[in-house]
Amino acid sequence: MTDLLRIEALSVTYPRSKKPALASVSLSLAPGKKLAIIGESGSGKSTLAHAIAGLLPRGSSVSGAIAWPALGHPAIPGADFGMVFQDPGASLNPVLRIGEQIAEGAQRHLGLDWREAERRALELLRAVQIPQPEAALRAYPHQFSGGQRQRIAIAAAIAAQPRLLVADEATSALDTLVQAEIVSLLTHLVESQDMALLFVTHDIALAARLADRIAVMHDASLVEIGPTRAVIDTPQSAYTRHLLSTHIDLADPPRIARPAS
Amino acid sequence: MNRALRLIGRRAISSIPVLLIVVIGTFFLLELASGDAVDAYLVSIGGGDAALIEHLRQSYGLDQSALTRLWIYVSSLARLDLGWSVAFNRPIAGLILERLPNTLYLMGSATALAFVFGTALGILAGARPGSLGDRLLSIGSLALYAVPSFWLGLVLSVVFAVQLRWLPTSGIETIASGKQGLERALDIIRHLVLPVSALAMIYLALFLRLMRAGMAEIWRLDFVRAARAKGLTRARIVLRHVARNALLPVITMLGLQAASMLGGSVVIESVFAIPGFGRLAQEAVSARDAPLLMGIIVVSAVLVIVVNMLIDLVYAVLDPRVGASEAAS
Amino acid sequence: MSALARFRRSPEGVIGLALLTVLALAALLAPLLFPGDPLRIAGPPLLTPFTDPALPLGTDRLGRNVLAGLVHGARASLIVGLAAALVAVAIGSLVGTLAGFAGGLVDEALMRVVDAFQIVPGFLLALAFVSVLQPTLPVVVTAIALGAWTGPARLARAEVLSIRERDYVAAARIIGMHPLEIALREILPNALPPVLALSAVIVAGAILTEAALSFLGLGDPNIVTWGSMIAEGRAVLRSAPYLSIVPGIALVLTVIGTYLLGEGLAAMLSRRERQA
Ligand SMILES: Nc1ncnc2c1ncn2[C@@H]1O[C@H](COP(=O)(O)OP(=O)(O)OP(=O)(O)O)[C@@H](O)[C@H]1O
Ligand SMILES: [Mg+2]
Repeated sequence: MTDLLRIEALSVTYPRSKKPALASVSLSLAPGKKLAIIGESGSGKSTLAHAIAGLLPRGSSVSGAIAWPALGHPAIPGADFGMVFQDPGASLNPVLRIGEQIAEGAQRHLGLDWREAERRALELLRAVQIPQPEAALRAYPHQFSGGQRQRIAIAAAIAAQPRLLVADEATSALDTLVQAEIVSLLTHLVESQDMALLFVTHDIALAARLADRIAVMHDASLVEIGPTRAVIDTPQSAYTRHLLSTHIDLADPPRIARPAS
Repeated sequence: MNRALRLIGRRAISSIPVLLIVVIGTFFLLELASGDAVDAYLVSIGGGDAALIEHLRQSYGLDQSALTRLWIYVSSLARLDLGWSVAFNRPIAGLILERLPNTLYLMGSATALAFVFGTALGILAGARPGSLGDRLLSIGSLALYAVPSFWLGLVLSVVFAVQLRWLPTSGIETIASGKQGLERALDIIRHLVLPVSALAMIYLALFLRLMRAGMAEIWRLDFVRAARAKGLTRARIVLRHVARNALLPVITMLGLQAASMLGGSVVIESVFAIPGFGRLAQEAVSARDAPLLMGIIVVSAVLVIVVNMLIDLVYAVLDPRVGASEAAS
Repeated sequence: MSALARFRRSPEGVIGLALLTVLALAALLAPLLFPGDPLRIAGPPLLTPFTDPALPLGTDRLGRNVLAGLVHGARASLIVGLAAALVAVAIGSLVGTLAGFAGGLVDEALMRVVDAFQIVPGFLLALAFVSVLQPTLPVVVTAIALGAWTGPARLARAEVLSIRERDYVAAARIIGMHPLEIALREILPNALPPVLALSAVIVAGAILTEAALSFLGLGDPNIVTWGSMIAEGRAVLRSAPYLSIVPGIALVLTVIGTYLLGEGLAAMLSRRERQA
């Protein structure tokens, strides 16, 4: 199958910084598949996600290639990929109605007028299980809980039916119960809509449950990438082994031992 | 809308003690004056005998103790009675009401001009932080922000009224021109162009800088990155997401500047000989008419309070978060 | 990087400092450069600039040396600007710190007073104040400060409220320091940097207010100020507009210099804070 996304030897250095934040990273993602990127803080996970989404600050030096073979053209933000951020409180515009923030992507990319885009927004609010979706359309972000805001942000990100959803620590700011709900919502959405998912997290247990494949990052480089089971059961790099051992000591082992198949 | 009304109500109630502080403070400040209005009046008519002085003092209540007069003042203020102007020999309230419209035209137009162009240019500068246009606008606005309005007024009138003769140098309208209706309105507008521009520029620069700085902050926020990741047009990101949020502090500043603008119009009215409220203040000062000056200060404080209430309303419309926490509790 | 080096790296700060240094030198050296009263008659009236090397900027309506007035005017502007800002910041910081630290009814009362000062146009207040007393330098300074101290007061109060709960204040309280002592020794110095950053704006505002007051004839009549020079030039605005324009340019440059210096100082302070 043609890959949806293929990254080759991608290096990124931020402006006014000498050390690269991403050093020659290569990976690929097939349509409809779920890839988890794990690694400790500062390892370059967000930089990778931002590079894919074209969100690096101006003046960053970038080398290597980001290709979208299955699309046959450079990816259009919103239309070909959507993005969800870590802090659901900050990723919605506080002064615009929820309806507008979901509809604007659909209006832009699906050739809908505002009325139709609004109807699509309503549909999406139902899909992400916001209670009383009609009222929610007219409401503002501060009127929702953290988990609900993240659902709304997800709805806005997928409004134009992208082929890939990039989630940068989309559940890290939420408490455990809500986190589980968001994860199952994400899983359900990508599977039902045949979307690929690139899920950035520092939670190995979560990655193991959710992803088809896991990529491990350390100090700006990709140290290992492979099928979830292989990475968990027979890690190739010393760093992954170290990561796994520290994690198993800390979190609940059964889930690690039996990753999603 | 309910929430906005509640806000206004609360501000109105909390304004009462503040206004009282203004009244009492001003009253005692003016008590410090070495002479009173009667002295000034006597100087202007070339003196008078002791009986006349006594009579005048009595008729204006100046022979009573300060506290008694304060009490009389505050209680008549409660009936919207501002007292009697010695210098103009007529009720102060009527005098102020007659002069106020000219100042409101001046201030209103200057505010509108400063706000519209200030925010528009601020958006232009803030749309691409660090670009050449941004830097030029920053430098330009800093320079403009340093220009005293009365001097700018003089320079403008040298250029546009004296040299080019495009606009009149002074007054609010052509005297005894017999103009009516639309013609008269146009005449007033022509007279207001220079004073309004002179008064507006410093605030235009202020709003520009505020808008630009606010936008620079907001570009960094997550929801702007989310908007970019949605692939929205640049115009929509700049206007609907960045500028829309950066507008809020500008609105707040609009309220904070109301008092300073009223002060600025005192000087501008003097430069352009506009018979307004500010000019009246200057006349009150030179005639040593303490009750008039007092009335002017009290009315301007009320004006500033009213402007801020309106600003609160606008703000509540623009920011859905206002009053949300209290509604929840 | 030292604070000085950080300051030198901000072009605004350097330009501002240069402008103000020239001005300060002019102000300091005024009695040496142009000895005697700048208000005395020095030549024929309305002498055009650049015609007489002894009177490079010409003379005004009464034959007074314009350049001498300009240089002496710098003194008035800088002295009034700095003194008024100093008084405003001192009063404001004190009231704000007190309000923030005392809390409760004292805070409430002090803040209502701050509100009262904010809803009265500062210029109108200054006008009233100067007209009630005599237009001498200290009175003008006080009059301007009356309209400018509320900003520092609010800022100082906000700083105090945010700093109040921090560890070292709690520690001081445990040691048994008196609240006022804590306020003066621990809180005030910490709240000062942002208040200082605000000061440049206040100095600039004070210079502009002083000019406007003396423009309206409410300045000290015994000293030359740029505002009074501008007002003086108005009488001959049609024939000799430069008499009003030149002192205005000096005023604009001074205020720009103050803003730029303020931006440089802010860059210096903010970077230091980020490091901490
Ligand atoms: N805008 C930026 N400018 C300069 N350096 C940056 C910028 N953003 C990130 N960095 C640096 O790049 C490196 C990688 O950062 P990145 O945000 O990609 O890490 P991360 O793996 O997402 O970490 P976390 O788990 O904390 O989110 C870090 O050293 C970071 O300090
Ligand atoms: Mg990250």
